[in-house]
Amino acid sequence: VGAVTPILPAGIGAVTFALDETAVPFLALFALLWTVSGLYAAVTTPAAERRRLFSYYLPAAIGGIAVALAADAISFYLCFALMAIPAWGLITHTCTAEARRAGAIYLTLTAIGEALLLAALIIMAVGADSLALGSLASGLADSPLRDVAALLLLTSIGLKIGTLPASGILPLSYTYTPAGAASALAGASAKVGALAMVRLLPAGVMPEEWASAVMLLGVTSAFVAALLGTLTTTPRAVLGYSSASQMGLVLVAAGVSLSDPSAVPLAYGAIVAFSLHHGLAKSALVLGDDVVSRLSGRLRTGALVALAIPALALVGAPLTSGFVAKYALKDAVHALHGAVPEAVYALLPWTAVGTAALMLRFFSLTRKRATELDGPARVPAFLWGLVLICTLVTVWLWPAEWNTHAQESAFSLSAMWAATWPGLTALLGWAALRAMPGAARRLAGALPPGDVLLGAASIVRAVDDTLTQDTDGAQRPRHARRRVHIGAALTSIEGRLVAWTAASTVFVLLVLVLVVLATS
Amino acid sequence: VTVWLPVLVPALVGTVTFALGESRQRARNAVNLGGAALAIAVVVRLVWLAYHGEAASSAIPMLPGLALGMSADLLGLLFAAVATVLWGVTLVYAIGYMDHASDRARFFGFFAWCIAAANGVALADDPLSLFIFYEILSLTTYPLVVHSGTPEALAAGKKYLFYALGGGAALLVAVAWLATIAGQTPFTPGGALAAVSGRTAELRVIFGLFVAGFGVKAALVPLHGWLPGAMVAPAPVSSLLHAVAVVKAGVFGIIRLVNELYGPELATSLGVAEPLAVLAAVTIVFASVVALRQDDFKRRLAYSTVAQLSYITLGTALCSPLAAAGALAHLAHHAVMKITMFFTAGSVYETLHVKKVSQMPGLARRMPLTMTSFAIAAFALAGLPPLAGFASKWMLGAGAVEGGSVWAILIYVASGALAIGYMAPVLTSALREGDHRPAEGAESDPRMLWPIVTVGVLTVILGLTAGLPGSPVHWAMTAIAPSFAGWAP
Repeated sequence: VGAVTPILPAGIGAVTFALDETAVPFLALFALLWTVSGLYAAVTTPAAERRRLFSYYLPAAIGGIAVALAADAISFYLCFALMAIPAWGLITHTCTAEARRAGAIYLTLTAIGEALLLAALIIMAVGADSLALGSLASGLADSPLRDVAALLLLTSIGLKIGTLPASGILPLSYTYTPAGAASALAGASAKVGALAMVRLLPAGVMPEEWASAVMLLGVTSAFVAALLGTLTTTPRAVLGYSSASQMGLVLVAAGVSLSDPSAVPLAYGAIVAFSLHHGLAKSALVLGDDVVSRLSGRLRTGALVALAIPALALVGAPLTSGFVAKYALKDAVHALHGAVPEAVYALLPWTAVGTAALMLRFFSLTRKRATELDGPARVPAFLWGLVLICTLVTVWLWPAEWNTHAQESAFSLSAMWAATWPGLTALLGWAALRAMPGAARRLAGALPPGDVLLGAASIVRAVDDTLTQDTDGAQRPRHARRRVHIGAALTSIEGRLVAWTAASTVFVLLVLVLVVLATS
Repeated sequence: VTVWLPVLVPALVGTVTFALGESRQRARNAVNLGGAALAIAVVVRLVWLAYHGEAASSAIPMLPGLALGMSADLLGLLFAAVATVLWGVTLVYAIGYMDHASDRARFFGFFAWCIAAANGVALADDPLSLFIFYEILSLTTYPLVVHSGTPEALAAGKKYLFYALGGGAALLVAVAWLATIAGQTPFTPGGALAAVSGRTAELRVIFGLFVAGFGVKAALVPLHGWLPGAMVAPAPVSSLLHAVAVVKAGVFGIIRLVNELYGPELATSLGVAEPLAVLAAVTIVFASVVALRQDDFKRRLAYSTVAQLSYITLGTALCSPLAAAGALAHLAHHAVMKITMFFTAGSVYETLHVKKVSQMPGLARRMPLTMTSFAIAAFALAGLPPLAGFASKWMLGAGAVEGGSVWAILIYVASGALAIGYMAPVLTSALREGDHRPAEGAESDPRMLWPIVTVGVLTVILGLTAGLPGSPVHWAMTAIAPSFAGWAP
């Protein structure tokens, strides 16, 4: 019995970690962001709260960094959970009612995502007869469970990266989190979804329709999240929707990898490029937003100007990291033929218009932020500067295939124009909107962070409340009773079952026995 | 003779406890703890023998053609080991918990008898012997449920007795009916009914009666009604009822029934396994959803137990080797996880009179070790690696996939998410700032605290060592393998 089957979780011995080609960029990104953000949080958190914050931050950071190195299904799942579950403590750190509600929604969606991921991992591990991440997807090629596994994976990843209709999970998880921790969540946590796309999704074996559907979903998420983001009220929430929008683009790249084996390297390149670019830029934006509020006068203006670097990068302006990442994405989509890839290809530049609109909205909100001068400013500003520099140079210097094309055409006029007009369009639109009278402008600010999720949560809570009330047997007005018909029914079923005595059980059984005997 | 010792030692301990009477507390504690240590040593010895292919067995003739048969095979020993080891831990806890209670001689006496009966269920070699111990178990737990003597406890006890005896009646009919068509049928890995497998209609009905009988203790919906009510019992009893002896006797009966009486093949071809699987799946989802909205801490745990027991039933009913082994491993893992939780519930009640989840804010600071152990058990129950629950859940899920029942894996993971859902409020509530202030001295009676920490640590150890020989996972695979010809772990 020495060779226990590889399907078994053979204790800690089976939890394997390896530094392979995929792991390197993700490890670099996660390690940098969790460390810098942690330092930022350590400096900016009041001493009394530091221990509480870091009792959640440290496990999340360990999981969030180690997940890049995870080489088998169990270590991946373990690190994923180790990062995702303590993040609840970061989100609810401020202990306000909103934060707690955000934390509850986050935890619910995370639990669902984890469950789906586990189901997919089990199906894949059984199919591949192995736990190694490298071979998991291979077992799916001819498996009858291929579609089920792919659907489970995509749903789980979608919950992580805020794909429609769960786009609210990112703004919810950034808004109430202290700045340093929010930077880690924004920069590193959602990118684990990107890592999962590379590590787990069955590449090159799915039917074309799957690829098309996923690409369309990604592009739609990009647009809708941008729209929701421009309507929301806090800088952090805008950044959250921006993340959901950008991760929609990463999902497009994942869609490219699904059906055509020849497009897989390009798609993976795009996913990695986008993760590096977006992780650094988004972290720089979250930290910058906080740094701005710690400065005053000329320094504050300077910080606002510097904040334009990551913002322009997200829009994909020439010579920024976004420029490189979008090149990689376009190359990948271009490798596919057919109506849908071509349509997506044509739509991609327009997503940059949405991003530019988000960045404008972000700026207008950050500019108005109140100054809080009593906290430390120098070290935070230095840490922020560090991330800014990384944003500027990393994707250009990273030795990889995916940036060669961008490097070659970086200075061509057409490329420059292609990278510039979306931003200009958004500026024009912004100016037009400002010129417009009241009603249209007031639209902005109409949406609390979390959009549909809050609606869903309130429905769940309503059901839950009624169920709880029912068990108390409280007298309620008639209209309330009618509204909660289903809840009451469920509860009364349980009430009756609990009240059922053995006598009636035996009676029912005997009747059943007689019926069976009579018919056989 | 050794095969009888796991039953005889606790039975003797119980008898001596009664004889010692209420006042001789030290002697009582010494006898109980010594007896538990002896029983553990006996079980270890039997496991050693069984692992080396010399499973002890013995039979005492009762009536012509009927014998009380005992056999210390690996399958039964796993249950016996769980019951005996956790008896020892629970004793320490109970001595602390019952420090100021009355009628302790009665309590500890029946407690020991209850373990004797559970060990009997574990090692019984045929349906009749199993039935006898199963009934003894019902009768010996009744005084424990009503221990406090309050009207509420008496009502719960009455309900428990009705359910248990009703189930017992169904079981007796099944055993007798089977004996008339098949004679004596000792449990055999892979099935003992090959000779009569043609009598499909009768076998189906008998199977249903068996399930009805075992289903009461295994808390299959709609036979679970007694369990939440029985929460009024003292915490050590709840731990014993819910984690170790009673409910596990039910699912263990189902494991014997499917794997070693009918056999997975016959159960599948008769078409009785699938309805059982569906019933278990319904129970899992139903109980998990009901658990979500229980404010009473122990009730919440009780519904969690209902759901988790059906994990085991479902794994068994899937008739796939990995799932069956996972089910057996989960029997042990769940026992350790759930006993941690019930110890916690008892400890926070006895120390701070906290009964409800909503009364918990501040508890994490007031009782850090206790709540950390609880958190570990909760995460393990939700199936997070590398804790105990993950290993068995992975096997259950993988077995479901191998057996082609993808729907079952979705049930497992959905209930995993629901488990986070009904455990998270306990943790988040305890972590919130609240009325409970950090304690000046010890967080609770050390005789309650250390058993909690012990089983909490055990939850981690069982998870970490899941792949090593001797772990419940490995043990379960070895024990289940003979039931599936051609399958080897």
